[in-house]
Amino acid sequence: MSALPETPGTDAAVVVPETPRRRFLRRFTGPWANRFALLVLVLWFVAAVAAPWLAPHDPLVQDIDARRLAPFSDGHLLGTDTLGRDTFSRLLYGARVAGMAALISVGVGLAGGVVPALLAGLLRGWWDAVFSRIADALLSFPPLLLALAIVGVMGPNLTNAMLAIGIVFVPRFYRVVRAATLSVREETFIEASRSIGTPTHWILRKHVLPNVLSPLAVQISLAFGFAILAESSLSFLGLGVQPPDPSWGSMLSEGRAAWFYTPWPVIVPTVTVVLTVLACNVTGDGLSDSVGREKGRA
Amino acid sequence: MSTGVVARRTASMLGRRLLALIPLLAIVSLATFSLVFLIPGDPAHRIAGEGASEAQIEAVRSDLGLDQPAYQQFATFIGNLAQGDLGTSYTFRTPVWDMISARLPITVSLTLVAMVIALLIGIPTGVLAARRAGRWQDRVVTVGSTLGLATPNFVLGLLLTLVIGVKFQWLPATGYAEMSEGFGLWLKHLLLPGFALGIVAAAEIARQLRASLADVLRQDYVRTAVAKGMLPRSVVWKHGLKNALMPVVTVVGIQTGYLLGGTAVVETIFGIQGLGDFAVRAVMSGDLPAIQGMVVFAVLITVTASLLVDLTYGYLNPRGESQ
Amino acid sequence: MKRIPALAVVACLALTACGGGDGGGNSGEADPSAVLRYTTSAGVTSFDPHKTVSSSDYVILNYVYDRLVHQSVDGQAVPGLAESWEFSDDAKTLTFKLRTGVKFEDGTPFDAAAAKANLDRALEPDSITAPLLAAVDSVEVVDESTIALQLNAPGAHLVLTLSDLAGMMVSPQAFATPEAAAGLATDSNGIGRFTLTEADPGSHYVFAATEDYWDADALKVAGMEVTAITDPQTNLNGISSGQADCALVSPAMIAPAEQIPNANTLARTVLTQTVLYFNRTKSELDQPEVRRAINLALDREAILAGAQEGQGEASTGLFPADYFVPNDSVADLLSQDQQAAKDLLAEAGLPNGFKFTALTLTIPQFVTTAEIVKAQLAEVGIDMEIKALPPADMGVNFLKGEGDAVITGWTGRPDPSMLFSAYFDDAAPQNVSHSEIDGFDDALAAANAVQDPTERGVALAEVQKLVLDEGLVAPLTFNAVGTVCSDKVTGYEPPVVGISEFRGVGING
Repeated sequence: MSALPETPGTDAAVVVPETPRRRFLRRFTGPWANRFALLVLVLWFVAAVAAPWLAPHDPLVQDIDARRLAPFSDGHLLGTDTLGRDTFSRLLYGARVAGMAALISVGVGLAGGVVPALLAGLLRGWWDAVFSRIADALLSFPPLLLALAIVGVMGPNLTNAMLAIGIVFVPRFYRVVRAATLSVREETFIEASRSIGTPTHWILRKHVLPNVLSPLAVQISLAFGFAILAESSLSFLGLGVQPPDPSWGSMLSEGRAAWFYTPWPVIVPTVTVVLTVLACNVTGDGLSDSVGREKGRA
Repeated sequence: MSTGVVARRTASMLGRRLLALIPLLAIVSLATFSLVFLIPGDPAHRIAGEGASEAQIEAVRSDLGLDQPAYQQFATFIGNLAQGDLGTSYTFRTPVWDMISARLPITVSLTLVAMVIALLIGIPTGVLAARRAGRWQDRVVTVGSTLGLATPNFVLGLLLTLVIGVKFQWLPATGYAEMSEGFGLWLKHLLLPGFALGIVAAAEIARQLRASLADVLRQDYVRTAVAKGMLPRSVVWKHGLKNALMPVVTVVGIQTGYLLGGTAVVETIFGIQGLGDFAVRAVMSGDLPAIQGMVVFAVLITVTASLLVDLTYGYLNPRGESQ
Repeated sequence: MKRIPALAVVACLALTACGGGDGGGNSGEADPSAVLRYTTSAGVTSFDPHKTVSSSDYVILNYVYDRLVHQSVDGQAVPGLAESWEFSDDAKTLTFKLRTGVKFEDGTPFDAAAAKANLDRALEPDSITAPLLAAVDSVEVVDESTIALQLNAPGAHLVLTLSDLAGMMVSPQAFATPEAAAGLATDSNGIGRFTLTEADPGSHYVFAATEDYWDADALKVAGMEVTAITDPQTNLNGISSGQADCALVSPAMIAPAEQIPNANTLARTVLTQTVLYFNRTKSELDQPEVRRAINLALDREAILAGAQEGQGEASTGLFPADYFVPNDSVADLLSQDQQAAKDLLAEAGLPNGFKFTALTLTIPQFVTTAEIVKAQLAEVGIDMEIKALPPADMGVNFLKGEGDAVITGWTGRPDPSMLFSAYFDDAAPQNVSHSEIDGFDDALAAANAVQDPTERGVALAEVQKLVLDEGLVAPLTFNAVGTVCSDKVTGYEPPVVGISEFRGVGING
C-alpha cells in the first residue's frame, strides 16, 4: 500500500536493548487473540497430520440407520451426516484436505513468485520490467475466477484446485518480495558490500533473505487463510474434492441439503472454516505487528 | 490550484494509464489463450469426447484451428477477440459473447450493490473506530471486521437465504429482477446477495480506513486545525477523511476482483443467473470458449474498475501523486 | 375397426396429495395476464424434438410443441393435433385424422403433408425417435387432413409413443434446409401453447402464450418463465419467498416443501427412475456376469432411504411394483446378495474386483445416490469413481464415451416399450453401447402385438427379463416427483408419467 502516508515512529522509547527475536516473541504472544490463533493453528496442524489415528470412524463409511445424529450421540462426538457418516472424522480428514490445499498452493505461489521477485529486485532493468508487467497482468484476473478457469480446463479435482489457487498467489508473493528486496537494495550496506565485491548469493543470504522473510511470513499466513476459503469455495461448488471424500466446503454443501432435518451438518463445518481462517488472519496481523520497526499492516 | 490544471493532470495520468494497459492486455490475452495448453492430453480429443472417432477428433481439430502452429492460433484468437468474437460454447452451441453480454448487467448490478453496501458499512464503522481508537467501539469494529474477513461468502449467503429469505421472508431468497421492472424490486433482490458478497470488502474497508484515518488524525496539520478551534467532527470529515480515503479507494479497486470471484458462489446460492453462475457452469463442463470468454470479461471489469480508481485518486489527490 | 383401449392400468399408482388440503384444486378466476414462473432442475439441450440427444428435453419442449396425441395426467392417450385415430382391422395401418385450422409459429398451416414431413424426419436414422417408431414402415398422405402409418410390425405402443418427442410437430420450413434445421437447436418453431421469446441456454427460458390457441382450456396464463436451478434447496427458497409460482421438488425435499406456508405440495410415485446404466463397450462392464454382480451388490432400500428420504419406491424391476408389467420374474436379479455378487465376479475372472468410473449429475439427489452405490459396491470389492457433471452436458458426454457407466434419471414414458427401445435397441442413439441382445426385437414385437393390457404386461415382462438377465442396466429407485406451487396456482395435477405439462394451470389474480 504505497499510497499510505508515512507512519511516524511510534515505539521509539524502548529503553532496554532487546534481541529482535525476543522482541518479536514478546510482541507476538502478548495479545490473547494471537495466542488463541496459534492454538487454533496447532489444533488444525495436529488434526491434519494425525487424522487417521485421531478419527474414531472411517470418514467414508455410511450407516443408513444412524443418519443425522445430533452431536454427542453415542459414539459420534459431532453427530453424523445425512448418510450416517461420522461428522468428527470427516472434519479431521477435511482438516487434512485444507492443510494440503494451503501448503501446496502456498508452495506453488512461493516457487513461482519468489525467484523472479529476487531477480527483479536485485537486478532491476528489464528483468524487473518484464516480471512486473506479468505480475500486474496476473493481478488483474479476479482471484477466484482465475482458479475456476484453471480448474475448468484442467478438470475438477483437488490437485488442480490447489495448483490453481497457487497460481493466484504467484503475483502476490512476487510483489511483497520484490518490494522488500528493493528496499534492502537501497540500503547503504548493500551498496557497500557490492562495492567491495561480495558475491550476489552472499548478499542474498546475508542481507536480502532476512529482510524479505518477515513481510513474506505475514503474506504467507494471510495466503493460508485465503487458500482455505478458496478450497472450501471450490469444493462447495463441487469443483475441488470429489464425493465422497470430505472437505469442509463439500461438507457444507451436503449439510445444506439436509438443513431442513438438522442444522448441525452446516453449523460444524461453518464454525471450523471461520475459526481457521480467522486464526490465519490474526496470525498474519500479529506477525506484521510484531516484526520490524513499523507498526500495523497497512 | 485551478480546476483546469487538475483536469489536465488527470487527463495526462489517464493517458499514461491507458498506455500501460496495452502490455497488460497483451499478457492477459496471451494467458487466456494459453489456457488451451493446460488441457491435459490432446485438447481436440478432450473436446470431442473420449469415445470420439479419429475423424470426429480431426474435425474438431481443424474446426478450432488446433492443427495450426501456436502463434497462428494466437493471432486468430486475438483477431476474433478484437471483433468481439469469443467463439461458440461447446455445450450450448451459442456464441459466448451473446451469452455473457446477456448476463453481464446482472453481475455488474450485483457487484455494484455489494460494493455500495461495503462502503456504507465500512466507512462509518472505520471512521468510528478511528475516532474512538483504543476504546470499546474500536474493539467492536476490529473484532467485527476480523470476523467478516474470515467468513466465506457462501456461509453468509446460506445463512441469509435460510434465515432472512425463507424463515422471515423479509427479502427475496432467490432470483433477480431487472431494473426495468422497477428500481425497488431490483434492489430488493440484490440486498441479500449483495450483503453476502460485500461483507468481506466492508471489513477490509473498515480496517484500512481505521488505520489510515488514525494516522492522519495524528498528523500535525490536523492537530493544528483542532488547536485553531475547529470541531473534531468537522476536522475528521474535512481534513481527515479526504486523505484517509486514498487507501480505501485502493481497497475498492482490489476488492472488485474478489467480488467478481465471489459472484460464482453467491449467484449459485441465490439462484441468480449472472456471470458467476455462467462461470461455474462453463467450468463444470470444461467448455473452453465459455471459460475464456468469462476470463476476458472478468479482466475487462477489473481493469475498468482500476481505471476508475485512478481517476478517483486524481480527484482526491489533485497533486497527482497516484503512486 | 377398433380403438386401442386406453391403458387405464397406468393410473393405478398411488397419488398422494399433501400440504394445503385439497391439493391445488383451488377455485377462482385465473388471471389471464399472469405469468407462471416455474423452476426445475435442468434446461433443454436442444429445441429440435427429433434430433436432440436427450429424451428429457420433453420436459420443456411440450410447452412449445403439441403432439399428434396428448396424455392425460393419468397417462392415457387423448386427442392432440390428431382429433382421432384408428387401427385397420388387420392392424397394419394406423390412421390419424388431423386437426384443421391450426398454424405453426411461422404461419405455415398444419396439414397432412406437414405431419408426414415430421414423421419422416422422426424416422431418419440419426433421430432419437427412430427406434421408437421402428414399427412404422412409411407414412402416407390420405387427404389434406388425414395421414396413414403403414406398419411392418404390430403397433400397440405407437399411439402413446406419438404423445412424446416422436409425435411433436415442427414447421416444415424449420427443417427445409440444413441451416434452418441447425437453428432449431436454439429456437423452436411448432404449434404449442407457448412460443419461446427469450433463452439463456441451459438456465432460463421465457415463453409467451400463443394467441387463439386451439385448446383454450389448456392455456390460462399469458406466459411462462422457466428457470433451471440444480440446487433443490434454492428451488424451494424461491417458492418460500415468492420468486416462483411452482417448483419441481426432489424426493428428499418433499418433507421440507410441505412445510412452506401458503403453498401446496403434490407428489406421487412416478415412472421416472434412477438407474445405473452401463456402457458395455468400456471397462470390465462388457461381461454380463460383472453387470449382474453389480445388480446383486446393491441394497436399493438403503438408496431409497439415503437419497430420497424413503419417498418413491426401491426398484424391483424397470417399472414400479403396481404397474401393469409384473416384476416377479426379475425380482431375484435385483435383490441384494453380496456372496452371489462376489461369486459372479470370481466367475468373470475378477475375484479382486475392478475399477470403473460412473458419471452422474451435479444434482444432490444423484450425487448422494452415487455415494451410496459406491459404498455398496466397495463391499464386494468394486471401486466406482464418481464424476459429477451438470445436467446440460452429462448425457451428451456419456454418449460421446466419457465414463464407463452413468447414474442418471430416466424420465417416465407413457408406454413401456418406449423405454426398451430407447436404451436397448441397437439403433437407438441413447443406447451408448450400440448393440442389442439376441431375441430383443422379437420379444418386443411380440409384446406390441398384444392389445389386452394384462396380457401385454406379461409379454413386456419377457422383454424385461431378457434385459435384466444380461444386466444391461441396474435399476435403483423410482422417484416420487413432487411439485410445490403457491396457493394462487390453480388446476395443477401431478401426472403419473412424471412430467408436468402445466396444461390448464392458471394463477388467481
